[in-house]
This record gives sequence, C-alpha cells and structure tokens, in this order.
Amino acid sequence: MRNLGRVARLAPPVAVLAAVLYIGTCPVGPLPPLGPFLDPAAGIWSTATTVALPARADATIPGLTDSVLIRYDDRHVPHVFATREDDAVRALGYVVARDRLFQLELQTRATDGTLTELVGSAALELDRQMRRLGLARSAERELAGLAPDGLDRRLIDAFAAGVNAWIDELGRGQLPFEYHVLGRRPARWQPVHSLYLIRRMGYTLTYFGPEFERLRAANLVGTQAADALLPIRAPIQEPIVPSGESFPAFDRSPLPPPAPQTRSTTADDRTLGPTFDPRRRGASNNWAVAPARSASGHALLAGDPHLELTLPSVWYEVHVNVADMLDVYGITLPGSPAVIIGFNRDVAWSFTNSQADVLDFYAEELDDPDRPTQYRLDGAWQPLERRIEEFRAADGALLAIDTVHATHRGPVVWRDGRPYSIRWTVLEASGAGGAVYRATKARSVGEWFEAMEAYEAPIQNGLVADRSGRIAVRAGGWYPVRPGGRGDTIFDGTRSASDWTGRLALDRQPIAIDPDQGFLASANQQPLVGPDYLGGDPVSPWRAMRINQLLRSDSTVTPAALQRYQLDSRNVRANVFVPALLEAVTRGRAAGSLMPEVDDAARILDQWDRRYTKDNSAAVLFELAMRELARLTWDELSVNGSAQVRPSDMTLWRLLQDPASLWWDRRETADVVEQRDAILLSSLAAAMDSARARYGEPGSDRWRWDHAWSMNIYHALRLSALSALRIQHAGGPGTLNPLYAPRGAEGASWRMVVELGPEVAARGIYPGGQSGNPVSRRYDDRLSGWKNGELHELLFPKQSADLPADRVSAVLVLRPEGG
Amino acid sequence: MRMRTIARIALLAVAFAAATLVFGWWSVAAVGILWGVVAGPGRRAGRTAALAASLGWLALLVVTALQGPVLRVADRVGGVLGVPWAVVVGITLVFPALLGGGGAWVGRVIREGKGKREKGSG
Repeated sequence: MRNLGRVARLAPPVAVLAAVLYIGTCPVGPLPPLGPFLDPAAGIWSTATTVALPARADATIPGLTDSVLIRYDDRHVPHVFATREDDAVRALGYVVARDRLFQLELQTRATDGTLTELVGSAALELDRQMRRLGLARSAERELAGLAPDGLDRRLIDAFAAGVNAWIDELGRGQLPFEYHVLGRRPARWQPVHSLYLIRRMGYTLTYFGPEFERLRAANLVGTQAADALLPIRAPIQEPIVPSGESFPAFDRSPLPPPAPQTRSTTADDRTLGPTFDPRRRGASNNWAVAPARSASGHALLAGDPHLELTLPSVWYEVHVNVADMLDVYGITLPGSPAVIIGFNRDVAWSFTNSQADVLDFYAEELDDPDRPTQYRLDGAWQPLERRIEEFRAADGALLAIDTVHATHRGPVVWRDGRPYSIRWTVLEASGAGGAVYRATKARSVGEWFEAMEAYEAPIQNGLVADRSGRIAVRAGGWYPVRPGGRGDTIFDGTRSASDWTGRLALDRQPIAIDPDQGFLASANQQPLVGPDYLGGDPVSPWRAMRINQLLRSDSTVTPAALQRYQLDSRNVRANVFVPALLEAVTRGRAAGSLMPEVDDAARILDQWDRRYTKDNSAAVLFELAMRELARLTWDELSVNGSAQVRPSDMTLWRLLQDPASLWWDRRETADVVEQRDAILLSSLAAAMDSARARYGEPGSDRWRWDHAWSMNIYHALRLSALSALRIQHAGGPGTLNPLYAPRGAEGASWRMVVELGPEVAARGIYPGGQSGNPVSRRYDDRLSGWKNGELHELLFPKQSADLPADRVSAVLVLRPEGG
Repeated sequence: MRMRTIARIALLAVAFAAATLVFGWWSVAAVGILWGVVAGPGRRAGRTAALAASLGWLALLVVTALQGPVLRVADRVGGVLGVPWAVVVGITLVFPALLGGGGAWVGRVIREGKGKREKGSG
C-alpha cells in the first residue's frame, strides 16, 4: 500500500515532465521538436551567430594537397586562390556549403525524388514525377561512365570532398536555419549530385513540347489549322544568326480557317487527347557588340538569364584562381564545380535557352495496362525495364510505392490512361560539366567553342566575346534527327522506324561569328531561317526585336548603354498590337458604332509610350486587352470556357492581317459573323470594364502597373516569411526586363555586362545575396540594388594581394591534413 | 526577496545554462530533478527551478544576442510559424521553465518519499 501511495504521489509530476519532454522531443503538427529547436545554444537561435563570417578562419580539408587562400570581398564573393585545380574545387565545395548547405540538399532531393524525406508528404507528387523521369538514374549512368582519373570525375570528387568537409565540421550551433525548422540534419553530398544539376536545369529548360497541344488543336480545328496555329517556322523572324537579309521579317499570309467543328464543346479530355502541362520556362537575353560598334573600341558582352527567382538565388558568385591554369569569375550553380556564366582574363560568355526540341513522345502498346511487363515493337513483345520506387517520410515511414517502367527509348509516362515513352537528350547526355569547366579556361572565342563541342544538353545559345574583339554565338548541342525530320508530333512507339536516326552535325548547327552588322543578340527566338527542324515551338521574338532595334541604332555602344538595355521596359509587342487596336477604333468611330468605354480605352492607349513603367496605367489596360483578344479570338480552341491550346502572339498578329478570316467569327453567336474589328473593339471594351472593376477609374492609385503586376521571389521552401513578395517591377511580357505573369516569379536571375579591354572590366548583380541564412543581411542584400537596376563592380584581382584591403570582409585559409 | 534566495536562483540559473551548453536542452529536466532532490523542504523548489531555468536560457539568449541578431531570428521564426516575434521569445523562456519546474517537482516528490521511508524505517 505504501508503494502504491508513493507511485500515486509521483504520477502527476512525472506525467507533467513527460508531457514537456514529449513536446520537446516529438514534432507537434507542423512544428519541429521544440527542445532542439528552441535550445538557445544549438537551436534556431544559433543561426544569429552565423550571419557573418569570422574575419579570419582556418580549416583542414582531407585530400587537400596545398593550402588554399580564400578572401571574401565586401560583396561576400569568395576569391579562391589555389595552386592546383583539385584543391580549388575542394575549396569551392567548402565555401558553397558554408553559405548554401540547405539549398544544396534541397535541389539534390528535388532531382532524385526524395523531397518527402526532407519536407514530408506534401512533396510526394513532385517526387513521383522525378522518379518516373529518372533524372537521378541518368546521372548515375553518366557517373559510371566517367574515367576514374579523368578531369570530370576528379572535379566532382573534389567538390564533394569540400562540401563534406564543411558538413563534418558543422558544430551543434551551425546548422542552417531550414534544418532547424524541419528538424532535420544535413545529408552527405555525393559526387553524383553535381551531375544532377545540369539535368535539373535540362528539366527546367527543355521539359516541354508542342506535341500534345498540337494533337488537341488538330482534334478541335483540323490538322491544317493546327499546323498554322503552332507553326514550326515563326511568323515573325528576328533570328539569332544574321543571314544578310533584312530583319525583322513578317509572314503576312492568311491563316487556314478552322475546320468545321470536329469535337463538341463539351468534349472531354479523353477525346481531345492528353494534356501535357509543363509550360515553357526560362527565357533569357544575351548580346555582344564588336569593337567597331563600341565607344571604347573593345568587345562588349551582356547577359541576363531569366529563371525562376528564389531566395537564396539559384546562382552563387565566385572567383577561382589557380596559378597559371585557371582564372575565372562568374556565377555557378551551387553544386557545380564550374563557373557557368562569367569571364576570364580573355573571354566572356553567357547563355540563353535555345528552345530546341530535344524531347519526343512515343505512343506505346503494352501487354497489360494494369501490370505491364512488355511493350510491342515491330510485331514482337519486348521486356519493359521495371523498377520499384519507394517514397518515405522524414521518419522513414513508407508513404507510397510506385512501379516505373521504361522502354529502350526511355521512361514511360501516362497521360489519360495511355502510355507514352519519352526519349529526351537530357537523360542520355553526358560531359556537360567538363565541357563548361574547360570552356572557362579558353583564351579565345575559338578555344571556347572547341571546349564546348563536348556539350550536349540542354542546348544553349552560347554567346562569347574575346579580348581580340571577336564575337560569336552558337546554339550547340545534341539535336536529334527524326525520321521525317519533324519532332512536333507523337510518334508510333510500336515501330523501331520511329526512333531517332542520328544527330545534327555540328557544322549544321546555328552559328554566327563576327557578323558584318557588328553585334549579336539572342533572346530565345528561332535561331535561324534554315532547312533543318530545330524546334516546333518558337518563342515570340519581341525581346529579340527590341534589342536588335537598340543595337542597330547605336554605333558607339558603352557598358552603361548595355546596362540600360537590360532594364529597358519598352514593348515591341505593344508596338505591333496597339496600332491595330487604335485603327479599329478609328474605323469604328467613323462608322458611328463606338461604345464609350472603347473611346476611353483608346484615349489611354493612344497616349502610351509603350513602356511598362511602374506608374503606367496603359500597360495594365493593354495586358487585359491582349488577354481578352486571345479569349475572344481563339474560342474554337476552348472547351467549356477552358483554353486547350494557346497560340502565340505571333500567330495572333498574323491573323490580324486578315480582317475577314473565319477565325474572328465567334461560334457562340450563331446568327452573326464577327470580323476582326468587332473582336478588337470587344476586347478593348471588356478590358476597360475589367480594369475599372479591379482598379477603379483611370488615374487611381490602384490602376498602376506596379499594383496590377509584381514580382515574387520565393524562398526555396515557399515560406512567405522568408520570401520577397510584391516587388514593384518596370517590365512585362515581351520587354527586355521581363515579368511573365501578374504575380510573376521569373525574371533576370543575373545581370552582367563585361568590357573586354586590355583589362577585363565587369559589372553584375543577382536578386538575393550570397548567404543562404535568412537571418543574415547577406541573404537579400543585393535585392534593392537589383530592383533599382544597379550593377555592382565585380572585383577580379590577379593575385590575392591585389584585392584592396579595405574591401576584404573575411579570410579563410584551408590547409591539408597535417599541413 | 532575500539575498540568499537571489543568489540561489542565480547559481541555479548558471547550472541550467551550463547544462544546456554542455549536454543540450533535455538536461534542464535533469538539473531540475536534482534540484528538487537536494533542495530543502517546502513547496518552492519547483517555482525556483522554473524561474532559474528561464533565466538560464535568457542568459544564453543574451550571449547569443551579443554575437548576432536574435530579434531578427525571432522575427523570421515568427513569420514562418505565423506568430509575433515576442511569442517565439516567450515560448523559448516558458519551455525551460516547464522543464526545470517539472523536473524539480519530480525531484521533490522523490525526496519526500525517501524522507518518509527513512522516517518509517527509523
């Protein structure tokens, strides 16, 4: 009885303490375990102690052969001085991990489909898609094929050693912020993770295609009309490769009319054909000016890749100097041993996406749709490659199991219950990392091209200029050659004759060197007007037209002018469409049939300088009018009010040339045949009504561009508190300084201007900061400069001592073990 | 409050802080239990331990604040969790109080049980 009494007395305090310990140890809802989280010595509070680097630090890295000196400048850019390449890359891995450890792991897991193990079941669908596509397996295949002592392997091994040296050194109080929030510890970095990066970029830049959209268009309006709506050759041409002809060139031929309705407007997705949602992302600009057209007589190069903007940035800025071997400055993707975009003492380069078609779909016939084991090929059954994928939560609990399949072409994906295999260069390409790394050592345009010959995917418009005054661009890489030439349709997977037959030879790939016009520009437009099929989904060339316009009109270009061009907010797209809208108003006015809101809209557009400045109201109205115009015009391509196909603005412009085209007629008004002007005026009226409803009367504080459209830069986990949201931005769809959506998250992820004089002079900026620690001022210290259009001087010392002492913010010395 | 009490709380706060630094957050409970066992008779052991544990962690926060922007941390964490920064600071001070006070309560009951047993056998 006495023992029972003691237990009874002990029970309440033990229960209370147990409850507190439980809360301290176990996650409660979205909260991490409170004990380690709140621990003032080693928990989230400790992130306050890592906001700045110590003025001087020393560390030992296994495998280092000689000491490496790293001096951080006042922009927190590490200048790495090493005597051997392997040591420099080890040091790079170390400094990148020091600033961006969580980002390294997050992007790795986003590629190999293990995000659920970090962030939980919310990421399950993303992981499933990545496992089905097999980007990580593709990287593993490349790794297995690398020579053990070859440069490519040594680089990624060295980088991994550097990252892991930092992880091993992490004290209790040095975990990045996000690991505390998630209640996780960092995973070790494997060499293969560096090979993930180019595949992830390939996914971002090339995982799209017109095949399914074309199929749906054909089902709705017939094949001939579908071909015209989604043309292989852009109706407006301002190609990257100058051909001596006059550009821009316009195709004013009439669009073939839509076929009589072949599907009912209540057709379901199954009868229309599958959807393929991934939208084209990642546009970019770059241009170069030859000495003959620059004020200084030196070649100039500018680049601004447009990617999803995130905090921390997708880029990390670094200078790597290896005595007599390598001296390169630029931006790298955290995880890559190489600078991706940048310059050395002789050469500068930048990339834009080529929009090449490097992905095909094959309709497959499987033996059993529910449990397939074989696919039919040339009349015989072939075994499917089969793999079981398990998805686990952070605590190891099993969330799901998938069986993924592949044919000899690549992974099988399912659309509306039908299997398609994918062949995609990104899954088979190799050598990109090594090629880019070798290119950073080039001393001339020729050497740069030579190094990049090994580069396969994703195909990029590589623009390069050197100190001798040469400028050049090549959209180089692995272009598949298909039977029949085109790749914009879905192929018959049951025939091996559908397979790719080869690659486009290097000498047939788009290239321009030192053109007579004295400049080169790429902005994702169709690269050249040539016989070969390169892609079936050309991007509207508004940005290309604008930069060509600016460069043609300036024969004494300065770096300051290039900086201004990068921020240019004038829209060629508006130059093309506004006159058409205003002419329709004039005709309507003459006919005495103008609605008052159309008059109001016309007055606003008529006074517009076609710039997307922050206080602009006309740009808001114009974007609404363009949306209405597309909606009213392409009603044949909608089902139940939902657009199934989205022809480009170029196609819309082409249609404008034909005022009586049947495309203008709206199917819902059976007793009226609309023509062009009626649709243009209706678009204006609807836009004006919509603008008034949303923003009030013209001139109100709300009816401004920066109120209607703004930029959002999200934290990598999309945590709003760690994001920069509703950033006012002067630019819109089609301007050189772009904003792609009303709440856009994509834009100029890096801006760089380089002058290749006797000494290379460069300026640059990216939105964000070098540190991944949201508590550090280095997390977003460049954001205001980026918003204001500033470019920072990029310090490029030849030796460590050349970095001015008053601009050194921290020093790190890495030593070999026992050194 | 008498000087002796203040000194006792201060020393205990140092013990909580040191234990947290060396062993981690859970050691606050262990120190609390020990305190409950060794503290004199009376019901104040738990309250003393709770206050001292809070002060111990507050001291650690102050030391951290000398090295970096703890209020910015509170602001960021509060933003992520959807609460004001002061709540984050408050929870950080209440949590050790519960641990230390709960531990001391357990320790006191153990001590009292032991005392009664000794009295019974004597």
